[in-house]
Amino acid sequence: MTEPDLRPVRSADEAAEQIRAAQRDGASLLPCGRRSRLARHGPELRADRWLELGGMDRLLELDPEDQTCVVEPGLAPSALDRAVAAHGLELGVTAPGDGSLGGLFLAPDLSLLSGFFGPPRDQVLGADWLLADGSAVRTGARVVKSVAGYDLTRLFLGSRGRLAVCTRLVLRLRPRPRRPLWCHGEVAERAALPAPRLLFQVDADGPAYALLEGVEQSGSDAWASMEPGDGEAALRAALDGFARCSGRLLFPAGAPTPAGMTGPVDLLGGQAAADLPDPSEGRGAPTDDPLPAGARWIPDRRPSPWLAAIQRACAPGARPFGGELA
Amino acid sequence: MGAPPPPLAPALLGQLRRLLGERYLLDDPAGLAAYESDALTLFRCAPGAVALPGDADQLAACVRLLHDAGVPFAARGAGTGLSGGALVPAGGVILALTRMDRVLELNAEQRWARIQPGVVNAELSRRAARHGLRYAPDPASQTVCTVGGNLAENAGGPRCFLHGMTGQHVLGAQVVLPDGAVQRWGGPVLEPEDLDLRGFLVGSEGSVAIAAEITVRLVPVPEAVETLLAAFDTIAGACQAVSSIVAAGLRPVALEVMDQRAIQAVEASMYRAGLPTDAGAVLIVEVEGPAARVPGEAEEVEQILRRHSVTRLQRARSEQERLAIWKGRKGAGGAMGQLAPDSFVMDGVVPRAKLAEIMDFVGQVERETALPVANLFHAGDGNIHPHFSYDARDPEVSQRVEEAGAKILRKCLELGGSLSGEHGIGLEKEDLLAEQYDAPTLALMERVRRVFNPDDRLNPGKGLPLPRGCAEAFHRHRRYRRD
Repeated sequence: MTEPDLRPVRSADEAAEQIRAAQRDGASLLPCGRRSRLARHGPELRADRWLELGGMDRLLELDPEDQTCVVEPGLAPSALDRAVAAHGLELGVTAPGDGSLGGLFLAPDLSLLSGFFGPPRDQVLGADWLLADGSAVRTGARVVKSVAGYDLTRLFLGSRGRLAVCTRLVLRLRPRPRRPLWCHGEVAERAALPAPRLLFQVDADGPAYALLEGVEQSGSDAWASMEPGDGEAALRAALDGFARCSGRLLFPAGAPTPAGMTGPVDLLGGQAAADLPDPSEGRGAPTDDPLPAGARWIPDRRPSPWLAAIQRACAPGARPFGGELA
Repeated sequence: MGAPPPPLAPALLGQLRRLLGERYLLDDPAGLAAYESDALTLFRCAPGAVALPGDADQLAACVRLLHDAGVPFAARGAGTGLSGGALVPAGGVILALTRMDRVLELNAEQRWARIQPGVVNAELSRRAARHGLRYAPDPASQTVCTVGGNLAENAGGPRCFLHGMTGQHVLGAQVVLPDGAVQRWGGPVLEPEDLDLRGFLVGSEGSVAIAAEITVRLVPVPEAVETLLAAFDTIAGACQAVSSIVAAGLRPVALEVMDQRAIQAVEASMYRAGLPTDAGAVLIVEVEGPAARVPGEAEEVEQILRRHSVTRLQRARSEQERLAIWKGRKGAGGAMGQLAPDSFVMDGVVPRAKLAEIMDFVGQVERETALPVANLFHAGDGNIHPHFSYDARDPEVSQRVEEAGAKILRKCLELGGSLSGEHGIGLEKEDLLAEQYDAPTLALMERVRRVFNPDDRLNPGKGLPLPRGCAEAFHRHRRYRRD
């Protein structure tokens, strides 16, 4: 057996070659971008080899008129943002940290803007993939709306690389908000606020909260408030602002978000939700909370019972990405 | 074509009847006739029976009986689908979910509702309105169509330019698998699970699982709405105005275009909205959002429109005027349906920048085939809906309509678009799908379908092209047709 070539790949062909080599060698393989999210993806993600896609980082096409772009998965969200900002556009996804776009979409992270644009994968219109046998498929379309065929794009995104390796993404872009990112001012009438309560903890160096029912802050300049009438646009602007801070986002028990997310949900792992003050105290018990108290999404995520069967369907006879599940 | 399929076994019919009650199992020809097609009447096939379960348990029990008996079946909502997606081969059973029309839970604070699949789209918004909320996707048939059907087809509508398709609004579903097993995919939180089965389910055309309960997002009713109606001499003029509005960074909720034939059909119908019948096209632009922002945006839209060759510009001054405009737009399909015994509403997508080009091509097809075409489309999304009015009793004309449709769809693909923006593939476009996806991708879709629907008993033969060379299967497909 020759020594495998494990250099970061620069093209889909090189990636296919490494996939086929891993099959030949009986080695398990998982794709990764810039490794910024690996630690959070749960213990079931193990592999003998990592297929490093961080070097596939080109912006292949940008169509400002159609508000779409085609990128390689290793491109950093910040790099894409710089490129599309020149055309007054943005991706509509703002996730803490940077990493790669492939990682952002393949991981089940929620964007801070999920309440407005849905989860990050809603911005993905189509993609190119390599299956575990090294063969290539193309899913979705290049247009903002397509319901032709099964939505394998969604199925593969969020599979954290266990169904297929992404080599190209077609993304929807949005007009960049024109309003300033920060909204200051006192809330005159709390009852008039259409936005729900949200608690943010931002800035890892010093805890700070901003409760979007007004302002509660300490130790940081990261705060936001809204004016009645600003509605969701202001909330969105505030979220954008928070997304620029390093830190984490926490939805306290009973605090709803625009999209109906509920918590407590710790998006980035780490400190238990219970360690933080519960802003819902004194506001009445949370309504029928579908998540058990203290539940977290990502650390508790167990493999889907459908995973193995779908892996077999994707590449019959091939060793699935990530190897056999325990 | 061979012998007609065997009638359903009396024992199975008896079991279904005992389960559902006499009233809710239809097997008389008159009762079945209403279920022989959806709103795409090119395809017709009367089922062997129609079962109307009243709740999720009855639905799952029906599916188990049909699975055990080896009988093909398909779920059906209001039958407003436009791709022949809710038909079964002769001898199969339709599971009509219209009785399952209850809103089970509405959480206004967290902005979601858990509903049965037969809830009518507009009724859900009506129920949510008392909490200041609504369900955003708004297909033109929203006063009739069900959310379950919307889920199966990943339905869109004018508002999805801003709000996204059904898929962006379905948070989860309790599903009945083709063997009758019940599972919950997704839930009232975003991204709760390991794999996005919820996302895969939406738009799978009822061939992966049947949604017995659906949890959907609700969004706030906007504080303010402004609607503008602009008339142009040509469709191209309207398309250019759309491009300018989008390029300005504005995010209207809807950008809808109707051509002269569509306008005239509306004005000659009960949906009359006072649209200018001499205009080559009208563009409807709607802006919604916070009261502090909307008037300014509407003003900006108006200025952009005035820089284009508008022949008339109207800004709705009252809710009544606004609703009249939408009555015209949403009634256009019905109005055009009155022009001839049959309608064929096509659905294709092109990149927005190619809209004028595809509309030119539609005009060319119209001239070549001498088939009258009316056009109304979601211009913001590049989603076209050429509408043929014809008489299906003439097989030659039917054939020409189908061919003209295929020609337009091929052009959509050539321009970098898609075969369907919101109606689905169904029976209508199966054969064309191989021109949008390569063989390995289609084979992969088929293998994944088999994971969930191994015997292809649930909505058989829909949404994917049948394997090439499989003559028997192809004949089964032909059997759906009226001839």
